[in-house]
Amino acid sequence: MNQYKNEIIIFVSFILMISAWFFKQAQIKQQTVDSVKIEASLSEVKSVIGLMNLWKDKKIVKKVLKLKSLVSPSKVKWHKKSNTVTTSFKKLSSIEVNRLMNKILNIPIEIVHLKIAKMNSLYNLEFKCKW
Amino acid sequence: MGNNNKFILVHTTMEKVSIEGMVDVMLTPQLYTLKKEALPVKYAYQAKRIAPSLFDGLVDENLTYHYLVLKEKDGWLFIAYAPSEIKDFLIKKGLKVEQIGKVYFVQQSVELITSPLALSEKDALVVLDNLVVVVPNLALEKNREKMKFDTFLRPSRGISLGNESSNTFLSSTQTILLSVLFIIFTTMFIIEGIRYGGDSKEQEAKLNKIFEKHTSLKSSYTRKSIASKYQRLDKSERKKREMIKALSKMIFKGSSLNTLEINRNKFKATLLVVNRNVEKRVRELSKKQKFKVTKVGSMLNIEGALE
Repeated sequence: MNQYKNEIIIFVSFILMISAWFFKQAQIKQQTVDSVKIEASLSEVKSVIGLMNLWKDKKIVKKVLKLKSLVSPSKVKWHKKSNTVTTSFKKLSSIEVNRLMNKILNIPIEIVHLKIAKMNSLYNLEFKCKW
Repeated sequence: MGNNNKFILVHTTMEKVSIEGMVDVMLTPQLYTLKKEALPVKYAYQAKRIAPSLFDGLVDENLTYHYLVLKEKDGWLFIAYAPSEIKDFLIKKGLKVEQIGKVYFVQQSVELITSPLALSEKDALVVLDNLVVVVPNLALEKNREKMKFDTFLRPSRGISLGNESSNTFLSSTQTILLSVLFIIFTTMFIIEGIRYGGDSKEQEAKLNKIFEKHTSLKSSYTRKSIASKYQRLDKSERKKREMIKALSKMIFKGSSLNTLEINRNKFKATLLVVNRNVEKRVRELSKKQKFKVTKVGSMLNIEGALE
């Protein structure tokens, strides 16, 4: 053994170097995997937060309540329970229907049911939404 | 750690030996050249630099000599030795190169040699003028007591012959250089590896910061479930709104909305059309949106799915 002392020293230090190189490569690979994983989680979380901010906005209630004020109170029947509103509008002009529809479309609410029916030249509108 | 190597005195008249394991050897003056000089130098390395010039003409020019410098009270003691010559001699006496441990010079133990040290029947080592020399036994007093060679004579500092055996491919210098190079690379790779490991921590911290605000999103299962719920809602509601916008484009001069009903997954609209041209245009627009159109009298029923 002693006669190959130099070779053994070189061999051991070479093995150490190779092991360190493999360690580095493993770390690079792991870092890439971790990075991709974290990046995916980050983008997923951001997208979820974005969707939550849109569809679970606390200001939605106020926006929904504003629908009532768009037409004369005599034409509106309004029923609100928790996060659901069931409403019916009677004898609306086409301008009022348009105004209501534009507003409804721009509020991030789930349209559960919407019914528009023309009676003579006026419209009746039934609407149920939740958020 | 103590030195467990065997310790032998080496001289030209010695018998061939057969020893197992590592051996430290002490050389007699027969295997080195000694010179005493009072030089005006302070340090051993300075004296060592001068050493080769002191032995000019005294040593064999065909051999490569190394030098050991010892500080004396009144100057410097220089020992010149040829490792290759010593090595050859030791091999001749039965030792293997890889067996040879430390090599000492008997001069290093001069103060411990208080009486003649027998080498053979003919020769002995004695101290003359503070120098260890080989003298014939005849020159010694007959009844004078002789000391025995033992480990107590082993000096604290020895030299190495650079025990490369004939089988070795690499010299000590090459070994040192290569191993240092490999170790440098090893360190570099480890440091880089550790650094790579730390890189993703920054993103992880960013993610954790978000999780602190939205604890419900911490679990990937919950996150996926919430994402799926809102994605479905988003997709469905966008479709409803796109459908209403598409339908509103079908209401123009000659076409008016009669009824519209939207549920969670389908819609149905009835449009009143005044003539064939208007009907044709409404049909074309419906076709683009992939709506189903049926005609009942002057009414067009338009239907479609919302999923």
